[in-house]
Amino acid sequence: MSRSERQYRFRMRQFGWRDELKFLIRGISGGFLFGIPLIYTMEVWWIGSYTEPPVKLALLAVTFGVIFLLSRTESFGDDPSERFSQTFRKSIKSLAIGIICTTFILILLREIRIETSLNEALGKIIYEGMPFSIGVALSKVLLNDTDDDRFEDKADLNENQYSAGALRSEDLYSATLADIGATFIGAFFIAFSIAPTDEISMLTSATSPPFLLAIIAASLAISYAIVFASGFTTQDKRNSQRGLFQNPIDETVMSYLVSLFASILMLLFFQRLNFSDPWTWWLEQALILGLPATVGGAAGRLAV
Amino acid sequence: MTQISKIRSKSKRKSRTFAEKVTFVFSVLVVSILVSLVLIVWIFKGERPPVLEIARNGEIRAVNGQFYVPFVLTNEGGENVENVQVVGDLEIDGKTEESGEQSMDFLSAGEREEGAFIFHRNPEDGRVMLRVASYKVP
Repeated sequence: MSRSERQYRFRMRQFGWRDELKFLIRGISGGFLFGIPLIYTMEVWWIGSYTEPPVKLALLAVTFGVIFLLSRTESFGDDPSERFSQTFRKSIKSLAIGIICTTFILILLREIRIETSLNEALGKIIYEGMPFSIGVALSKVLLNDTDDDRFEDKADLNENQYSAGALRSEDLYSATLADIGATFIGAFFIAFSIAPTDEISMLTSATSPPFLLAIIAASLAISYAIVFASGFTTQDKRNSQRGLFQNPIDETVMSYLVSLFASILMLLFFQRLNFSDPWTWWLEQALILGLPATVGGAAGRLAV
Repeated sequence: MTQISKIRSKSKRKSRTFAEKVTFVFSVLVVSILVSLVLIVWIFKGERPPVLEIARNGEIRAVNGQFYVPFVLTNEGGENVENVQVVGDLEIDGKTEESGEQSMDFLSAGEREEGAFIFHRNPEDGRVMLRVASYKVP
């Protein structure tokens, strides 16, 4: 084998891994978009706790069946020649991603702890993992943009403006405002139904500073993954969108702060926060609700 | 098809298969572990009714004239319970001087919950009686 062939094979192997990584990040992003509202529902935690093992196994089988059907339906539009075995492998992967992400987020929110019984933990993972895994399977179609022409025109216009160095400051501010608005709308869309529930105060009471730091890190990472790393069809659009915070890191941090602000507004609106409450309570509740709000905010920015 | 393009195509297929294979094996492992754990719980669970145990958990804390008596409640049975009522009495010289009540929403089989009763009189002057008063089957 010549040196160039070896180099080429090495590069191809890298592409294979890159594809898998893309599938993984995209799946995780879709899972969070679809599954996060149910993660914040205590009835689901309880149902998971007292469900009998045979029911849990049946539920796992049903979840797999649903994922398989969804993947099959999706492949009709994407690759009609896809074999059943390929769909089977894809479905197993979607289920596994859902299980891992659900376990991670339940540990993060302290719904699974060292002292949690195995039966309870398994019930929570299986029940919460169901929408998560479906979200993973649906990730490819979840945020498809059908209005490509409008985007292309806009992107071309932006490109021309940039190349000529003629982008006016008003345009820059308008684009920034559009991003902030989209983050707000997305955050409200996902977190508005969670904000008035008792789950927020329950989760806040159960958390601790190290877990809050982990929640901040997870919120930022998920937001970044959804918008910049997942390879959703509108991701290129994000990269060509102009605004004050268009650098991926800047935008992720900015949108997180906007989502936290939106969370505080929602909590105030539903009187879950009062001005007599200590600032630490405000901060903790905002961070807990900030996680689903950030996921929504990221989706909102992809949708503009 | 030229020789090099054949190699490229074959190499691409091989590398993708390898990456896919690794993630697939890992995924099968994750799902298998989950299924195995559910089966283990199923086999060892049996038909044991709830057994609720309450015990003191750590030292008494005295803060601003109040005495905090920590406790731990464990469900050692095989079934889950709801609305567990826990009662704590402080007896001094054979008389119940203070009494406290606590309710736990949910306690699954094997789960433990912690809490504390707060008394105004020093528990070390008498004795603290902790007991589980009632529960409901979900």
